[in-house]
Amino acid sequence: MATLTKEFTKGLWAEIPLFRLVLGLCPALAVTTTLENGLGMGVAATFVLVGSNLLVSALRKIIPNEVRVACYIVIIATFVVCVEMLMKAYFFSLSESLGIFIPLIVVNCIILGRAEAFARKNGVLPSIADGLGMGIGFTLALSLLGAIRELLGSGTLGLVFGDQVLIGLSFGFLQQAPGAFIALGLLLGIMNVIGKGK
Amino acid sequence: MNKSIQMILVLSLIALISGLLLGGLNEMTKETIENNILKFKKIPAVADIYQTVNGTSTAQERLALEENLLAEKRYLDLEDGSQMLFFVIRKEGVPYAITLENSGKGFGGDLGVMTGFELETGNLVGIGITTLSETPGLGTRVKESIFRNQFSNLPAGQNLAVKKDGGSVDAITGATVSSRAVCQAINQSIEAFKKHQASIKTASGQ
Repeated sequence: MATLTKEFTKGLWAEIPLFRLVLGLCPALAVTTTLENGLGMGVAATFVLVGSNLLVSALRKIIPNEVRVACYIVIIATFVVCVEMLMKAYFFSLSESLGIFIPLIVVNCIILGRAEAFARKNGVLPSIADGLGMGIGFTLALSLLGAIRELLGSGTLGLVFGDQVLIGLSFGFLQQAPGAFIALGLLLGIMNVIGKGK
Repeated sequence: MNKSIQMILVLSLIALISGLLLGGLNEMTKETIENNILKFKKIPAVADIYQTVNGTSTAQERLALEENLLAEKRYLDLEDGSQMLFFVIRKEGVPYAITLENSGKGFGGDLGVMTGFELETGNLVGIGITTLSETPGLGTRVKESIFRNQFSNLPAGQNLAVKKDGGSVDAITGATVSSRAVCQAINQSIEAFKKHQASIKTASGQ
């Protein structure tokens, strides 16, 4: 039980994908214009991550070593297409704003990375805990980045406060790609400072 | 030998199972997705055109209008076996105009435009934007009424182009590609309307 908790919590802080491993940057920079988009992307990636970790770990004794990456990709792609269809059917406006980045979860390096580095060497339960922890850590990071960019970039926080403008002064620059790099860079810097103090 | 058989078997089996799963899920969600596209993309564009014909309305009336427009969906069977979707716009209860959707090549992918035609004359009554993935703040401005209004009450028969290409349409500053895409989509609709005008008229119940 103690190891399960350890596998789960490492993704939340010590190995939080975006800030510590600096993995999954493409969606992190592209879709985090709002809190809602960041959260939606994170939840979608978490679903895929848990599903693929579960299957890769359950099938780890059957899948031959030589074709393992091909098998993983088929498994991951299946989950991604599931997410894409479900999102289009039940969260249409979110799927519209995430656009191409939902299908692109297939090539998200966190997911293949966890399958290759963790799930294929560990049992089903630790793999689920690992996927869940990493996914939630990724979601938190994306939500934080999205919230900062939305609040400072357009002065709103649509998911919580609707259309209400919270800050009159806004830096539209943060809504664009260069602003995403700068916001992420500052967050990484802050995370490193906190990490050193420990 | 044994090893390679296992490799082929496992990979094929995984692919087979995932294929079956996705096929099933596709069947399950297909209808909902189509309804969503109809409800959140096509109908609002038709409602925009409806409002340029019949005047604007309050937000509440607009909701009721979008609900009503769902019933104005018509299909026309084409010679090649495919179907063409169009909507009927009524003025004082009588079919007055129809709308056709086509898309042009925008900056961020296909840009879908719903174009309204007056049934009698074939004049353009207005346009509405359906799918849009242009640059925020630039290309997305084709949705604004100040740009869209250029296309209301245009006489039939002319090919539309932005001023840069020698036409008469004012492009949005910094979004020439998106403005061109809108013209391209409208021109396709004009062509389709011309070709099928007679059968559209009958199908719209006029």
